[in-house]
Amino acid sequence: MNKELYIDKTSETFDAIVIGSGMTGGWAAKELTERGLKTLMIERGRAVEHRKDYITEGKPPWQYEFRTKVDKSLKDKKYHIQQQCYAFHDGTKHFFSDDSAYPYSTEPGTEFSWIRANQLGGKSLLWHRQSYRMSKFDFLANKADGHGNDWPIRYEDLAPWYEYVERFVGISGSAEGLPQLPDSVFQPPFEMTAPERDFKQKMAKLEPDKPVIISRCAHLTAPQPQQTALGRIQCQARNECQKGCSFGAYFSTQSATLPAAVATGKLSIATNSVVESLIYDEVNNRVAGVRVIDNETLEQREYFGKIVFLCASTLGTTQIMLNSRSRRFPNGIANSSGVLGQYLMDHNYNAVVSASIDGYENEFYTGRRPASLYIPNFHYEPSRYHKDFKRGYAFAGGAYREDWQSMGASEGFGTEFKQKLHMPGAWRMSLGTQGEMLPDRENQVTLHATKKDKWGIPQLHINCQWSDNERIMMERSLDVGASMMSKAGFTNIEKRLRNNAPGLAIHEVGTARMGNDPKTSVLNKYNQTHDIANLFVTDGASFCSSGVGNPSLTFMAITARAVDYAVKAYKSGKLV
Amino acid sequence: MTLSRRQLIKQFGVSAAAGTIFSPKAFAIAGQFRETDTAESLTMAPALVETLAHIADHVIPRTDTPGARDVLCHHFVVHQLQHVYDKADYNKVEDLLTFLLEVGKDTSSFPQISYDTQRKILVDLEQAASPFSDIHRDTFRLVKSLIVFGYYTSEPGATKELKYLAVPGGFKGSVPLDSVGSAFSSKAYY
Repeated sequence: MNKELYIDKTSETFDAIVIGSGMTGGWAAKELTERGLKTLMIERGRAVEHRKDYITEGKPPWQYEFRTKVDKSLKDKKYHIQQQCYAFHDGTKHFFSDDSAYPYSTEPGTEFSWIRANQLGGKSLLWHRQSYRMSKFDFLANKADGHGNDWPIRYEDLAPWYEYVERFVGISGSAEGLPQLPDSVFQPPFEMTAPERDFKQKMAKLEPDKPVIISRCAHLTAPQPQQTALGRIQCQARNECQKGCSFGAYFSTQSATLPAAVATGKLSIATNSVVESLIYDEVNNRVAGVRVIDNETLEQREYFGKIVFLCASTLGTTQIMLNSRSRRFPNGIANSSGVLGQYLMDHNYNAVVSASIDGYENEFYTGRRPASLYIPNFHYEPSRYHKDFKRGYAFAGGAYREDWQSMGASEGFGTEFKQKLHMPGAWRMSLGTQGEMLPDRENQVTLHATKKDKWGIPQLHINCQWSDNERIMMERSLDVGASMMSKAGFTNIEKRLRNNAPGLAIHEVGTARMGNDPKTSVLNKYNQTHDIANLFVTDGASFCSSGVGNPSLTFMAITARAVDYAVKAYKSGKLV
Repeated sequence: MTLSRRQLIKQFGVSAAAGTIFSPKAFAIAGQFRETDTAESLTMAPALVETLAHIADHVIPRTDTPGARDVLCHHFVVHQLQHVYDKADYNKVEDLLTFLLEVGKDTSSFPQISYDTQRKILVDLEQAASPFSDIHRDTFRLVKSLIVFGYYTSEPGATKELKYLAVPGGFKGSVPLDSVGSAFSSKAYY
């Protein structure tokens, strides 16, 4: 561990403080340090060093005591929420938070699955890496149909920043020229399988408004010099990314933004530093720094900086703001609007259609693709809305051959059964719905009146549930997916509705939204709080609507844009 | 008073009906049985484990590669049920194995009857044919899926019977199956 990089106590006043080290914290630190600002990154969890701390990477199943499954008593005791995540297993559990140490409450009659990764790198180590630009329609949606407030930015404001971050991150995908899904700067796409290619061709004729494309993901397929300079190499198609990737083939804080920030010599990191609240200087109406409680010793300390970027995750950021109370801001810092905590959103993934595909007996694939098929939202503007619900959804999925695990309980015995499992089984296709969630004031978080965590910080109380709009969207999407599969000639079509609570898409956004009106929003169009000039929020909390696509690429672009604005303002003396 | 099969198993750690060798360790541990949500504190009777071993041999026998029994899938199944599954699942499997032992009791216990007769019993079980119930069949599916999981996640099953690609080196979307030769054991998520 680089002892000069990691600090504990210090009397230094930094140019900038970044709270959080995940997707947005990493980007904020990179952009601030590369612009010459001495920056402190604060992380509540432990340090995770690239390569060295990927303790299960490459470990085959026979080397796990439970063959990758997790001891039930441990799951029930420490991971009763985290175990709901598809990526949670014995090889990844150390990157998920211990639920027993991070309690939160939910309003009676509601549930919210809050998936957390409290260590250096945060959820950038665990994410699913699917990367999509939001479109002009996404930024106009609230204004167009009246749900939520109008975004203060348009696609054109963010487009150059998407391009900027994409060149650094490395996005695999195909240029399609679709109005509802702007192309990124791409590295080569992953290949489709033969049934997928045929499905794409059939849908192009039969369902021309539902183009089937390969998904876009933050994996290097043709690394560029600025990526190889950081030690990143081409994706090897292991698709075991959540264990950590020593190849640096997928984008994470550890593989990309952190080494870039460290290279400037301007970065310091304080790990095991739980931010209790922001220190407010009422005389100058500035945030002066942060109050921190040591994760392990519970001792208090303070850090000081001239600009503060909150990148602590959507709900982590809002919890800190709500807990930063003063005479001027009795209900949370920069909350003169009273909107802080409101309009929480996620994506709804509760509908899945699957079917059998006949033929293709001698078609197979090698490697484990970290991408899928993707069918972009086709209800992307009000004139294209379904009559029964507002906004829209995408499908993600793909075709695969059944394997020893999916056929494991099928009938048969002996050498005949063994020979059956020796070969791949029949082809199937699965398509999962990824639906937008309407912004709704009633979906909100507050601080619990009495319950606190072990650091003495009031627990978050979450009141969030799906509306009929999302439920009806899921039901109708099953019919659409089934119809597409039927037209493609697939058989044994199965429609499945799940009842997962919000949270499990791990796309929570909102609760400190942007807006043009300080009376109805927390942040302006540069993610700067309306109330305090040197306080910025650039994670998902800033979103006005969820859009349909996976949000991380937008987190990155919006952060880079905000830092550019903040540093220019700082250097011109406007923030001090 | 007549003891139920379950009581018998719990109290003596073996099936008296099966006439198998008594295990002091099993007795001691079963005697300390506590009601918990997991089966971690339970020890399966040796006769039942032996029955499982025979089942494993029927599901995936030794060919030119090791079989499920060779890689100790019977112990894996018990271990997995004890530590990963609910106690209710463990109990269902224990009930099924106990029932299987009794199916053969007119002649001898399941492990002692002929291979062909064992196979006939297991085929009946998989079809829920008399004397087996739908619950027996469903429980057997769990047992079978665990044997399969244990086998193909064992090193011999994963690397000798199928292909294990630790580092595939890239993804190819269309290759002839006959150029690969078999399925892959390696997965992104198990």
